[in-house]
Amino acid sequence: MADEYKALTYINLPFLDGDGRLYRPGQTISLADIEESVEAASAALGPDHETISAADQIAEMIQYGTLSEDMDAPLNAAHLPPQPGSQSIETLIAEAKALAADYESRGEPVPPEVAALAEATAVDASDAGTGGTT
Amino acid sequence: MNGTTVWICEKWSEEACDFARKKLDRRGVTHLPGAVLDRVGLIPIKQAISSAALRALVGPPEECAEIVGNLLLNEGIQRMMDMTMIATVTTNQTASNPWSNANSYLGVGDSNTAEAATQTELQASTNKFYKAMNATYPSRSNQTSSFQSDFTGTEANYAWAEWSVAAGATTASGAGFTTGTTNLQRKVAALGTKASGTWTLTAQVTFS
Repeated sequence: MADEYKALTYINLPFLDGDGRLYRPGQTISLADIEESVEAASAALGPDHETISAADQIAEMIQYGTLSEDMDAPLNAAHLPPQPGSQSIETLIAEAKALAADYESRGEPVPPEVAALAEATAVDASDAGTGGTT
Repeated sequence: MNGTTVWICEKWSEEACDFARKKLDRRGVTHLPGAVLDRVGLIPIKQAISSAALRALVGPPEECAEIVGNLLLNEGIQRMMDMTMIATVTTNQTASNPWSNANSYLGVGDSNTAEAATQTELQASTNKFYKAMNATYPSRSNQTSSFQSDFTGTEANYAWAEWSVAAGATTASGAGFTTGTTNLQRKVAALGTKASGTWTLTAQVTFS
């Protein structure tokens, strides 16, 4: 295991500093902090409860793109603000509606690709993130 | 919430707009999609040139100012909450809120895995249970939404180490479910070990 990791998203290590210690995307998390969090969890949850180990927790967070050993690793895309003017589903639909209206006003048939987009009223933006289980 | 806003102001000069107009004019383009009052429509290029056209025809703005920060205002926060999480529908609210009384669940599990914003569920492998809302929950008072569920008898009888508010649940188990969908948050702490009886969990979520 590495001594330090890069947080690729917001991570809160429970039981540290009382209610947990928050790390922002890009911040460094030390192995010692993760181990301390696990030790505190064991103490708080009692000896009969099987807590997840620091090693298993790190492996899981790396697997799901939450943590990285690579300090140059890119942040989770959810935390990168988009560039102004970049296309979105909403702007594409709005432009398609305007184009379709223009075709119709000139008495020309609306191309099916434009019509399909112009008629889109609901977009399912379900979260593509992955949670993972222990 | 805690909205961290980056305000980006891109500035193109009138000369740049004229340059784009002439280019479009040479191509025979007289109108472009743009915002007209409260809708998107076609506007004459003599009237206005959109940033999309400027970006394509002129390139990056001549000046770009970037400011970080803002303060979310209570009235806006409350509207967002009313539109998404409240049991009793009143003015300006929708009847099918994702976190309505029928759709909201409080979930409890036994994993101490650190909280991460990319998680989509409680992290326990088997000991996790989502229970429907008590009557009239969720409710809102100012910027705080309250969610409440009763975990009775044999429900969630294990160490309460994590919990969450979900906007749906699947995989029925007894009077609850074992999988939550669209979880609002996840908290890890020690609430004790439930072995019997009724434990009532209330989550008071305050946005600012």
